[in-house]
Amino acid sequence: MLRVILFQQWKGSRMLLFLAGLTAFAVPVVSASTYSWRAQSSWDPAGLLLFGYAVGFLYPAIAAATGLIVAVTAWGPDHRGGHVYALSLPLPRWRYAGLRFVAGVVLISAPVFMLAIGTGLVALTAPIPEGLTAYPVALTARFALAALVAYGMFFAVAAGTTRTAATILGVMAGLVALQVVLTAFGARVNILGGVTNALFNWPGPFDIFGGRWLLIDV
Amino acid sequence: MCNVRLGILLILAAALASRPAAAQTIAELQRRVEHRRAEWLAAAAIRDSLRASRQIVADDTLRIGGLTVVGSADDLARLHPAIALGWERAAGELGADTSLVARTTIHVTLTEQWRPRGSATGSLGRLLRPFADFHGVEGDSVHAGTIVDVSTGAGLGLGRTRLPGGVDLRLAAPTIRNGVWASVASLVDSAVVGWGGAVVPEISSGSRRTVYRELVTTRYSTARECVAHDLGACRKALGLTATDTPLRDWYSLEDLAAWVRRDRRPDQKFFPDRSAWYDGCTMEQNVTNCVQYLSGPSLGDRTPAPLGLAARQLALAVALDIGGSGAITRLIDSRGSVPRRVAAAAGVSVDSLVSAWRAAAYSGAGKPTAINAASGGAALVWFGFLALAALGGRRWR
Repeated sequence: MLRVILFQQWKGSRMLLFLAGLTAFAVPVVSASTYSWRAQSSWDPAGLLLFGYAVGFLYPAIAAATGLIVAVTAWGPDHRGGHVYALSLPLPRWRYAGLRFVAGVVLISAPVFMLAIGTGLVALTAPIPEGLTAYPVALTARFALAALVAYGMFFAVAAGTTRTAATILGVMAGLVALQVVLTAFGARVNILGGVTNALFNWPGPFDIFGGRWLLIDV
Repeated sequence: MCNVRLGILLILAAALASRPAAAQTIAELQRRVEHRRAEWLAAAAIRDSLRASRQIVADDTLRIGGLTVVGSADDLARLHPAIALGWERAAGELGADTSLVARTTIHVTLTEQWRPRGSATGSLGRLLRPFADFHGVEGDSVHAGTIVDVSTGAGLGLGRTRLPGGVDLRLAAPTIRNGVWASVASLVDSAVVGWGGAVVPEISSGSRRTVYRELVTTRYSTARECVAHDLGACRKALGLTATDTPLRDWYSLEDLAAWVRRDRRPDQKFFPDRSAWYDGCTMEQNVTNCVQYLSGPSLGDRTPAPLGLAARQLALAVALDIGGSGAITRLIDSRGSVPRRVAAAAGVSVDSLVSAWRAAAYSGAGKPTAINAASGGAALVWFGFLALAALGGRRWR
């Protein structure tokens, strides 16, 4: 059963997954090549770190995109078909959703694997200045966790009813509106800041996305 | 006839009018001016005297241990517990160097801050406030907190903290403690301060990280050799070698040429010498030309060491740490070159000091920023929670 669902999800997402995997492979390789080319004219390890900061935002972006792609394509056929296929199976909902979830996790491993190859290649071949270290395993692990968190969130939303999605969007819009009104009336309350901090700082769900994403660091 | 009389009267009147009155002679007027001036000076003197007297009466002096604090009687009364606590902390840290505090005086001032009630913040608030301003009385204000300022008698700021809820002992005491440290640091002469910055009570782990980051990413060859365990290179990188030709001693030819290359080539028409030095340095790799070029307006009279102030400040802190009690006194009272004085403060050789500094810098290496256990664990927990949320639903659509 899992194999069938996995194959179905693979068919629906393979092109986008291929693009995500290619990008995940290319970002460390291209950035290291660019730096190596620049290092031939001037020795500048600080420039390498700055360059790492500049391209570092791409890793969480690719992780989030991977999670979104896999989650949306997992439930796409069911939503289009009105869940007839799922309802025709002799399976409880939790088990069917679990199969889809596991299939998605398997598919996420493809871009993670591509990133592991890219970062490993850089760590082995790039001229890394003394004092700096490449962290291919740590970066790949972080990428994998970020992709899984993004996948989990989008999968949960996609697996829910339309009402659930509307409720989530409504709460978000309500918070923004409340903040605007409070600010307009001179209240010194920062709701959005608090919510953002709670989400993006430890132990929030998106803490893994924050901070520096550096393949080569001190 | 009438005309004759009238004429005589006019002549008489003109004669009388042209003669100065007794009190309007030049001498009399000058005398009056001098008198007024003397009176004004006397009044000004009395005014200044009164002002000075008022200041003396208003200012009070508080002595705790070796610390002398000057401020208004009211401020000192309110701050007394904070001053005592701050002094206790500073004295504990300074050890034998507390005797230096007797050479200085610190001044404290409390200033109340007020802000308009209900003032909007942020650009959106300012934009919308005219349409939503329905509360508050015009001109009404609320107490926003108290500012405690610690300074030298000359007005040099030693510390400043905003105390939101009145004089909070926990917030005010560190300011006093920092003020004591700053007053001691102000006794260090400009040669040492110019090299290693101000004497500070501690070096944060963030500063150590900054130093380590600078050390391993520096573009200067002497600093890179320091990374490769060359203590002599570390000394040069920190500027801890007494030399009359720092550019030649602290920097390699490649470093100097790269440094010069960061400038645009001077116009040959207006700056023939400098453009020739520029070419000689960057094209012919002539070290003399590099030094000639950089010794001009680019540097002034002070050559920076290859490693920046944070690294040198860490070296100074390490020296004082190794030197222990009395190290600051030795630093202040010693004479000679900066390396000699810093070593005297530490009580060890410069090489030992540099070795300790290198270890301190490497202690800031920290862990890789790519991931940490707390973030990874939180991500896994959230992933599990979201998976359960996805599987737990009962409705299909």
